[in-house]
Amino acid sequence: MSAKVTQVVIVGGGLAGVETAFSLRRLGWEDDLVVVDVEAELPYERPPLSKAILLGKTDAHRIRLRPPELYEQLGVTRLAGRRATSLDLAKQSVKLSDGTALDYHALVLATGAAPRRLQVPGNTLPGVLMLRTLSDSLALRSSLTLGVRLTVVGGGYLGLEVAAAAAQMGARVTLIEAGNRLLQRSGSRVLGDILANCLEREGVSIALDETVACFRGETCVEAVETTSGRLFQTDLALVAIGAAPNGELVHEAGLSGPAGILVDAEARTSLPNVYAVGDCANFHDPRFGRHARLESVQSATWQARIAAAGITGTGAPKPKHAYFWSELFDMKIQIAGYADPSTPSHEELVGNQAEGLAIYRFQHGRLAAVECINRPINFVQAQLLIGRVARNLVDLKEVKVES
Amino acid sequence: MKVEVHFRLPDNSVRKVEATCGLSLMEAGKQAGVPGIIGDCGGGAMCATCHVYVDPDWQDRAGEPEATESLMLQLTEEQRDNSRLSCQITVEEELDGLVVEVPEEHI
Repeated sequence: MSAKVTQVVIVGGGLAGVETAFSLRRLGWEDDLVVVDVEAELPYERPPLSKAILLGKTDAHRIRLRPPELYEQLGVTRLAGRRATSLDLAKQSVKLSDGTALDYHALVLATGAAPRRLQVPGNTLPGVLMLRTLSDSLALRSSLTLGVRLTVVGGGYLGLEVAAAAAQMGARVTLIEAGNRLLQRSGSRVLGDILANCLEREGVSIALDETVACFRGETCVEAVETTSGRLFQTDLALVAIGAAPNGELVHEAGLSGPAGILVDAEARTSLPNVYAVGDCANFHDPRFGRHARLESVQSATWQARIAAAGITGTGAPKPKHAYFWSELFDMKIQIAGYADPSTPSHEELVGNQAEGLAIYRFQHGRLAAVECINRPINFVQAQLLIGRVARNLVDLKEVKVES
Repeated sequence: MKVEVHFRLPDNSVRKVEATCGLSLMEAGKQAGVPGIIGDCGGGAMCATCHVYVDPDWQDRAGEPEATESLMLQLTEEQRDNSRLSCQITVEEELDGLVVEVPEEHI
């Protein structure tokens, strides 16, 4: 009989994977701990990639999740530059791209998400870029010289952040969005329109209702053509149309769908001792009573701690409200709660652009989310109000909305 | 320039950390792997996962929380009059020897 395997294998070196590893140590896991990381780079925070890193306001070593010596000190083994290629469920073993196999007592899938490609002709031309990794960000930064023309495809947060940063660096920026407003999947119309105005004021030209038909160019991208026949001359294109969960590893086992790897509220898949956390996980979110995949720092760290608690048999952390943040120019955008983009919502605005503003979003007779621009007080206060039964601000008056 | 700061944990053990001046106390604690110093939001006073109690002897030098931080502290499990978010304290020379206590909350 073989010796009992006591190793935890974590696949993925992003925030969710690394947080799982260090949470396990914090919770007293003393046996082996291995993180398989596709990237060679020491794990880092991703939010600054489209903000401070792009703008050159911080550098690579300041965004590391943990200093290198801490991995050694706490016995977190990192197998960098390797990919998990297949899973043997019967043997509880993962095979890696270098041919080695790792047996596990528990397996944590923290495989993240990959930027969606635009499936149109010319999408592999040099100069058609995507942004997910530190090296993507550094490459984009070095291309953003004064006067360079950049076309951003996609009006979500990533596209907006890159457009803003590039404009600040002196690039001539055009942003193309297929929908009729910005932030269609991730924010209110009011917020989308306010941010569109700000971007335009800073010289970004915005084209709504335009779907990319193809990228044109001889040896590199020279123009973006839309289905309406418009041609946008450009030197660079950044495709930022969302990310798809990486679930290939458990595809055969039937756990992975377009919405991610299905897990329960304890981050467990239906396979024994297999967990999934972070951007790859379609998590049964107790706050909403349904499955959801929210790509955010808070979801990643929370789920990582839930999985670590499950593996160590300790108490899971209590749920907190979702929150998100972004930065565009001098605007600090903070969002408390989560509004379902597929459900109509009622919005009310407090404050103004000069002094900061907050947009209250009501769904199903409750306060679902509060979006704040330079208005941290309302963001903080919102943490206590999210989920309250209320149809509008008047209903919330008894709890004194700061205005 | 580095100074020494002390994080007292709920089990009364003390973690001594060599902290680089200019970093926030949260960054210093996180870099050293101090349990309970999480810093989810990267230092924006948005998540209250870096809550500490400043030793009364050091309260004057560490300073008082600003308005946003004060509000955020209300969201912590046990707010005391010496509560601070460590991301809002900048490590500087005069904080050499600083003692803070880490609450049970995020450990």
